[in-house]
Amino acid sequence: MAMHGMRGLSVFISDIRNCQNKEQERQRIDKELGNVRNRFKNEKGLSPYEKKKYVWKMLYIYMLGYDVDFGHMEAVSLISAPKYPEKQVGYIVTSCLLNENHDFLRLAINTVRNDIIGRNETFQCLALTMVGNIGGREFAESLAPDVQKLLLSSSCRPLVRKKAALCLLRLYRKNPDVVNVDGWADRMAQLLDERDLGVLTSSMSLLVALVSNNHEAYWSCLPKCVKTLERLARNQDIPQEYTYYGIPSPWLQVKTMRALQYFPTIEDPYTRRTLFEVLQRILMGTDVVKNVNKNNASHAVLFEALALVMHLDAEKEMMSQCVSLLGKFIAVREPNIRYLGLENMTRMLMVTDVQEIIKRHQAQIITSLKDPDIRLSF
Amino acid sequence: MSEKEKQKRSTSSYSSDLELKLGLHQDLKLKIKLHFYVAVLPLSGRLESMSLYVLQIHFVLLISRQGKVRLTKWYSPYSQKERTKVIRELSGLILTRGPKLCNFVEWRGLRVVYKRYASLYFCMCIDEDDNELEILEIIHHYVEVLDRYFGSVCELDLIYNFHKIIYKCFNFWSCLTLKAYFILDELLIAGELQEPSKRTIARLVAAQDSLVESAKEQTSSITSIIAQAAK
Repeated sequence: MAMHGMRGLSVFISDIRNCQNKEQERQRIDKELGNVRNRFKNEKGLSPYEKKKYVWKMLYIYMLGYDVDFGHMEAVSLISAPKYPEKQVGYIVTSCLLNENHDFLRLAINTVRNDIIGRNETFQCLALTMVGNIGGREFAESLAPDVQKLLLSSSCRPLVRKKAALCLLRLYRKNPDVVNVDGWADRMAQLLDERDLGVLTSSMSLLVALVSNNHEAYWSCLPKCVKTLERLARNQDIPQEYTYYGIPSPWLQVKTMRALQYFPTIEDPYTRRTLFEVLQRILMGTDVVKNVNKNNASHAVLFEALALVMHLDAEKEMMSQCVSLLGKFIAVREPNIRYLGLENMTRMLMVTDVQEIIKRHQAQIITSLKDPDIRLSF
Repeated sequence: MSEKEKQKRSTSSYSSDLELKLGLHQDLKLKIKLHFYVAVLPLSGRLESMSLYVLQIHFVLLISRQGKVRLTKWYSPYSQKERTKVIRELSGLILTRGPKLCNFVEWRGLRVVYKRYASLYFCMCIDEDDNELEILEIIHHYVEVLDRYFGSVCELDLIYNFHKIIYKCFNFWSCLTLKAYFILDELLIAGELQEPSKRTIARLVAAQDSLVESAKEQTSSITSIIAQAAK
């Protein structure tokens, strides 16, 4: 029985792929849509397995670019299926086809909530993922407390907690009131002590959003961010799996530096000194290497560090170092680095002290601009 | 678009001051003008525009060289009509770019970071002031995870490789690959990077597969029990 079902699906797909032109494809699609529509109408005859199969077909058709304006109900109803394979399809297809502007996504809130507060970790993950991707305002109001509980619960595994962090981020974006600042300042600081780098990366994204709106409340997080950055920059105690081409979690480094850019100043001299040491290390230690990915990752960190240096209004010497680095980039062959070097140089022009320094590189900038490649590229 | 024009106009007077100060060459003047609407915010305020509602990644697209869509994931609400329009515009923009150009294009006030792997273009849309290289490496991270899972991934894998786990012996013409969607969901949530470790993602996906396997086994064992009993 199972094989027969799959064959129907694969036959449909090979039919589509064998169509000679758009017309034929359109005809085949219409035929199938009619078929699916009829089957859905006879709801009584559909097992969750069959429903799943038709929902897959729907998604394939949608992906080809055709309008699928029915069947959303069936996709959403699969979310309440008792078994994992069907439930998973329900969640994923709903995330693809629907978004927060679809009114009846709200109908799923209760089922989703049951999955979140239930004991089943896998179901929790599915629910958190979907809400994190397409949840709207109503989801924020109903689910935020439960998601918060999961994030802070020590009995939850990192797998669930990192999804809860990003899910909460989404809910916060939809309704900022769901994160009560009073309680959260301490909790964020606690979360930043997290050892698991997956959870830390997600929590850092959450922090960036919180701090961007209210940096005063989250002062206690500042030294923790600096400490995290230091740990990463020195590659202290970073598990191998989080090292990307030799660079300790570049994304977390970038995220942390971004969070730091939201604090207007750093009062504490010790923290400030530590941060400058780390930045110095990044500025001096990044070279252009052959491996494209290592290059990109290390330069992603470097460009973010440059932004942080500019924000902190650092000493002239550091600024001058930045400018000479940028000057070096502008001459590099690699188009990405050259483009970003130029763009960052432009940003630096806003800082009056730097203008003098940039003038020294003027000649070099002009020669690189004369290069026909750049004019064509950008 | 008119908003951007307004911005450009208000910065042109500032930029001409600066040009005078630096005594710049004609070409550089042009470059700076182009970039000024990005740099118009004060440096520390480079992030001022990043309010609550700004996402890191707005959407993910996988397009083949012929312009066929292999996967789409939207982290922002786009209606069906808007999605079609976006896909059409970006396909036209990206597929025609030469190989030596940089991996970022500006589009509708946003930036699209893309990279081509064999016959597939992986595209992610971000804001202008986001870190492009970071996103480029997120794309690579995704490809590496897919690679690890499917074993040397290519476009055909995304088409064929749907029921790989369950029906290994069959060369199925598959769907859009539920698997790639599942893997993407382990990588990104709410348009942000969720898990930087490939090993962790691989473990999670393997665990999910065995769940599906065991569910199928359960079903088949129950059906066979019932079949037996019904004889």
